[in-house]
Amino acid sequence: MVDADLEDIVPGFLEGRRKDVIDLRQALRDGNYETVRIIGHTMKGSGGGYGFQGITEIGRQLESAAEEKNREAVRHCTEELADYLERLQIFYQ
Amino acid sequence: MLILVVDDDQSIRTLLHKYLMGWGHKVLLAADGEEAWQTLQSTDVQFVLSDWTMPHLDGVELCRRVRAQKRQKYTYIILLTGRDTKDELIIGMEAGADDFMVKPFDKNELKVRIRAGERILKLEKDLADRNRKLNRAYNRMRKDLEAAARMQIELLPKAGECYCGFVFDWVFLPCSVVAGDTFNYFSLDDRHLAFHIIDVAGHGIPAAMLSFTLSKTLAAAVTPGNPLRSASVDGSGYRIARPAEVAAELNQRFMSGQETMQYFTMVYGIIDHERSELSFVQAGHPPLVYLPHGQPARIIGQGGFPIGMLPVADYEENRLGLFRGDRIVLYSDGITECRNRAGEQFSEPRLIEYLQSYSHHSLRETMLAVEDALRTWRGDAELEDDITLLAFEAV
Repeated sequence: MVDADLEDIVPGFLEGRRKDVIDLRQALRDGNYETVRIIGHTMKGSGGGYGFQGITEIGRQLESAAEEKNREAVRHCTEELADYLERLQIFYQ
Repeated sequence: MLILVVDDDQSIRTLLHKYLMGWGHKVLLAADGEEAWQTLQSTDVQFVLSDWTMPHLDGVELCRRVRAQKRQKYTYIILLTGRDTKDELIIGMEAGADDFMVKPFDKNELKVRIRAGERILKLEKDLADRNRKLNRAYNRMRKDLEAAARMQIELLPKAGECYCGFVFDWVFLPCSVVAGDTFNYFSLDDRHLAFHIIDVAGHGIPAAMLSFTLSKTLAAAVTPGNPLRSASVDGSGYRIARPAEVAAELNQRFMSGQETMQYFTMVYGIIDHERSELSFVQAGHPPLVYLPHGQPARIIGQGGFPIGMLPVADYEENRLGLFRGDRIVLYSDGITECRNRAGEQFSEPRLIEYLQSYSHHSLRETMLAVEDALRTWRGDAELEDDITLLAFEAV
């Protein structure tokens, strides 16, 4: 359930997260964990505010995985985010 | 309310903008601390919602800058952060943040925290408004008091003046802007000089008002109701009231009301310079110090009742012959009760000792010596009471 007041800004937010998936995949290829950490930190702070607690949770795991330089965990989280966005169905209330 | 949102994350800025506008606020946006700092310099925004971690200038440093600048109006700052440890909270608060919220934030929690901030700013504004009003009122009262003090000073006689063979001098130090002490000396006619020293009980404006009234009442002019000198019954001349009569008359006129106990002590005297005789009345005031030329000082006076305290009070008159070189010194208890740092009073014996040891100096030198001794005695302590020293010498 997403706050109906946010209906007009949610698409832009989700578009940003889809771009995050692209950036995360590129960062993974480059081994750029700092970029991964920043993206994860940002997702963690914003997801829940928009009503997407799942994004916050994936962000938290990404940030942690980047700090540990755990390539496999980063890859897993990135794909989990892509999957989350793919399957997401939004109901405004 | 105008709120400045500071966050390097576009999605957070958009989200906060949406919520805040929905709650009726106006919103300014900044993408980092540096941009926010510029906005704070060019607007009067008082409410800041800032992220902690940002490029260029972070939220904590922004808080420090705002607090260091001491802006004219208070700036309320809520730090938004993904850090949720106690240590981080302490760092944020110490930097000057008023409140702290962990991201992702809850919409309703944010709403009530903003309301709490608004209440603080309103209280701050009310306090500032009240302070401004108080300052205006204080300045107005200060100016009035200073004008009143000037009027009081203008009523005082000139120091060092000589009247019919008597030279007068004085020291006067009011403890607040206006004084409850007053004194004067003047000719009643070709043969008589009058002098008085008065100490109204209490300090400040009420005491000064009575003191001012008394100064005007105890005047030389033959005017209706003058207690010192009245027109004779047949209108051909005037009659000088005896000091004891003056004290009794003033006691009737200035009797305290039931609500306010206001009284004063006084010495009023008349010098008949043809007969070289002093007659005076002592009404609750410290006694006179009589310094006969070349002889030890003597204390003269039995006390008497203060004026305005008791409806029926008898006042006794004292008489004294005065000869060349004799001195009379009158003082208010502000001198003898003046305390040093150890709490010890200056005391009557110490005053007399000074007066005695300076009896071979001029009256002016004696006055300055006592004034200097009192200043040294009290050091940097504030005066607790008005100080008046009035003296005259037969020359």
